[in-house]
Amino acid sequence: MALCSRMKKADPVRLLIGGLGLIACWPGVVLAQATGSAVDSEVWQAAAEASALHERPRWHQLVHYSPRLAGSVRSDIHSPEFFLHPDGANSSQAELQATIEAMFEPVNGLDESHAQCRFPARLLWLQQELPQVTGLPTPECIGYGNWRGEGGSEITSISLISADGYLRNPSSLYGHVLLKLNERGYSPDPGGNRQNLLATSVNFGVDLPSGESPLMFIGRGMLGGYQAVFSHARFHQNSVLYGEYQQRDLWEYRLDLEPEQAALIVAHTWELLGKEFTYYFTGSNCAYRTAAVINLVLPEGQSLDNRIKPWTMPHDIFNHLAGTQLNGRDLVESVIYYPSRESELAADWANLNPAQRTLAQRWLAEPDLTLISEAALSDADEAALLDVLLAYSSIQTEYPLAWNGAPGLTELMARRAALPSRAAPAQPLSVQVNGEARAVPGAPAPVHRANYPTLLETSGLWNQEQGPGAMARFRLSYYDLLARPVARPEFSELSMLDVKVTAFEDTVQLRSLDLVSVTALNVPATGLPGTRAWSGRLRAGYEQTGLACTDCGAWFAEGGPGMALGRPGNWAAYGLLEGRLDSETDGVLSLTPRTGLINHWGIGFSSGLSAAYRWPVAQAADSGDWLLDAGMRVGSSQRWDVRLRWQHWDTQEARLSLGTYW
Amino acid sequence: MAECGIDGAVYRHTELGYPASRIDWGFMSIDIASFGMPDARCGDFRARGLFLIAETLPQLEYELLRGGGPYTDSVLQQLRCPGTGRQDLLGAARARFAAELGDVTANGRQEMTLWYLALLSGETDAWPCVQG
Repeated sequence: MALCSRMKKADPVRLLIGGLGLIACWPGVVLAQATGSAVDSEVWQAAAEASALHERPRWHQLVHYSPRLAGSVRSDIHSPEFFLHPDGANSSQAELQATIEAMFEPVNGLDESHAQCRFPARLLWLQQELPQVTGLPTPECIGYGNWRGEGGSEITSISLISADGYLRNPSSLYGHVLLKLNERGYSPDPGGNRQNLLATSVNFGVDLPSGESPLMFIGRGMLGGYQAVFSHARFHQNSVLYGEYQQRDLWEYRLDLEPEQAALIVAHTWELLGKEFTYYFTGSNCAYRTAAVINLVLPEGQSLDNRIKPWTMPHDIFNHLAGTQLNGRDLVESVIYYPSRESELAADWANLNPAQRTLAQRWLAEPDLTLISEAALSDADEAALLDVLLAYSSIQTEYPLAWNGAPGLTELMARRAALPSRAAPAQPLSVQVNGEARAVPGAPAPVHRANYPTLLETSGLWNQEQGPGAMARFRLSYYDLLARPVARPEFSELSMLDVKVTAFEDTVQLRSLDLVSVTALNVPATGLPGTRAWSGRLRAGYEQTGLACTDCGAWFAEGGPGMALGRPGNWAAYGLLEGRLDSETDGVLSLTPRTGLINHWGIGFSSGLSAAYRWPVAQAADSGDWLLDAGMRVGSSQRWDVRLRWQHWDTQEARLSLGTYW
Repeated sequence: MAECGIDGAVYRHTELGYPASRIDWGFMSIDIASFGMPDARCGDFRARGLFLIAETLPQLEYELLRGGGPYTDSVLQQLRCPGTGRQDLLGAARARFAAELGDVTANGRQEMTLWYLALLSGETDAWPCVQG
C-alpha cells in the first residue's frame, strides 16, 4: 500500500513548549518531555495496579494468555517481539507494567517501533479503562495508519467469512474461517461496492511445507507439530482461490459493531500479523483464533467458540454467531452468499428448459454456434444458454490458465457479448439471520443453519445373539450420510473421533472407534460431459469385526473409489470398490464391493440402504461376510434427531437412537 | 487525462510493446513501480487500482462478456463512477467485443480488455468518467 503523508495532531501546549525549547536548549525539551512522561506513566501504573487490570479477562485476551497449573498463565504466542517484558509471556502483571511504561516512551523519530504503533489495541483498551489519565506522547504510526485506512478508505465494519469444506485438502476438510475488514461505504446492496474485493482479509493458517502429505498434516496437526500465523491479503485473492479454483462457496457474515468495537478488532489484527501460535487441527485452528479476535468486543465471559468443548470447528463459530446479541441487537447484520463458479453453473443449469439443455449438449459435442442460432431462441434464453456454456468452459479448462484452449470459445464469447446483459451472476444474497431468508432459487442454506458439530447419542438396541442392550456414542465432528442435509455436502460423510460403546446384560465393550471416516459421493449437478467426479470412501480405526462377537476387535483401514449418480437435493445411488486391511489375523486383506442408496426427503427425513460383501483375499471365497444396512433419520432441528437402524453382519441388530448436537 | 484513478498506464504499457506475458491471464503481479505514480495525491488509489487490474483480467473479461459482476463493480467503485453511466460503459465495451472478438487471438482479447479498462479509466475521450 502506498504511503500517504499526514499531519500530526496539533497540540498547542506542546507546540509552544517545543518551540521555546528549540530556541533555548534542545536537550532540555527531551528532558522535560521524559520527566512528564515518567510522571504520567507512574499515574497510569498506579491506577492499573489499583484496578488490578492485569487480572482482567480482556487483558488476558489481548495477550492471548491461557491458564496453566496453580493459577499461572502462559501466552499462546511464541514470537518474542509480541512482548514488552522479558517474562511477559508468563506474567500478565509484568507485561502490563511494561506496556504502560512503553506507551509513555518519548517519541524519538523511530515512530514505527513505538509501543503505541505496535500495540494499538492495548492502547485503546488502556485508554478505555483509565480515561482519566492523560499525557501520552503522540507518535506517528504510518504502518498502522495505513492498516486502518486512516485518511482514506477507513475500515468501519468487520465481517467473518466462511469457506465451505474442501475434501481434496485435509487442512480444509472442515471449512475455513477468515476476517474481512470492510472500508467505509461498503454495501452489499445492488449499486454498491458489493463484494468489496479490495477489502483486506485476515487469515490464520499454517504455511505447509511443500510436499507435505495429507496424512502427515493430520498427524502433525493433531499433535501441535506446526506453527501458524495471521497473514493478510486482498479479498479478491480469497474470492478467486475459493470460488474459481477450488469451487467452494463463500458466506460473509457482516457484523453489526459500534465504531470503537470495529476499531479495536482492526487494531488487534495489526498486533497479531506474523505472530506465531502452535497450530492444532481441532483446537488452535482458524476457527478458534479468528473467534478469539471477535471475542475481544463481546462482554467479558462471552465467547463465539463453545467453551464447554476443548475443540473448535468452523461450524461452532457460525452456529453461535447467529444467536449472539451485542449492543442490544443481533451481532450479525446480514449474511451474504458468494457462489463458486460451479455453484453458479449448477444454478444456471437448473433454470434452463429441456430444449436449452439439449442445445448445450449438442454444442459441447460439436462447438458450432449455428446449432444455437438456428434454434431461434429469444435473446434472453440464448444469453442464459451461452452463460452456462461459458461457465462450463471456464471450469473444464481450469480457467483462467487454460481457458483459451476451449474449443469454439472465441466465437462463443463474441456471440455472448452481442446479447443483452443478464443480472450480475455473483450478486450476493442477503439473508436476515433471525428473519426469513430472501428466496433465491438455487441458493443453499447459510452455514449457521448447519447442525451443531458434536454428537452425543444414546440408543436402545436388540441384538439377535446378545439380546437387548444399549449403546452410547460420542462423535467429535461433523456429519454422516444421513445427517440433516443443510449447509453441508448433501451426499457426504465427514466424521472424526466417533466412539461407540455397547452394554448388554453382562458385558460393556467398545463397539468401534472411528478415527476418521470420509465418504464423498459426487452427484453431478448438470450431467454435462466431464462433470462426473470420482466418489470415494476412507475409514480407519478400531471395531468389533461382527455384531455377534464380544471380543473380536481389530484395528483397520478401509476405503476405495467408486461412482455415484442421482439427483442433487434428492437422492444418490452409488457403487464403491473398497480394500481393507485389519489386524485381526495379522493384517488380513479383503475386498469389499459396496452399493447403496441415499434419499433426502426434505430436511426432516432421510433414509439410506447399503449392501456390501467382504471377501478375504487370502481365504476361501465362501468365508466372506454380507454387510447389510438400512437406516432412517427424523428431525429438522440443528440440535437433535431420532434414528432407526437395522444392520446385518454375522447376525442382526436393530436400534433406536436419540442424538443431540452441541 | 484523468485527474485521479487509473491513469492509463496499463493501456500504454501494452501500446509500447512490452511483452504481453507481463500482464498474462494468470495471477501475475505487474511491477507497479515501473509505471510511476507522479500524482502523490492519488498514489494509494492508483496502486490499488492497478493491483486489482493486474491480477484480475480474466475475471473482468468474464464479467464483461456476461454484462457485469463484482469485479466490474469494484473497478467502477475505484474509479468513482458507480451507478450513472455504468450500463453505457459496459454497453460500449461489449459492443466492441462483439464486433471484433472473432478476429483476434487470445492476446488480442487481452488488449481489448485493457482497452475496456482504459475506457473505464477515462483515458479515452469516449468516456471521461473520472472527474477527480
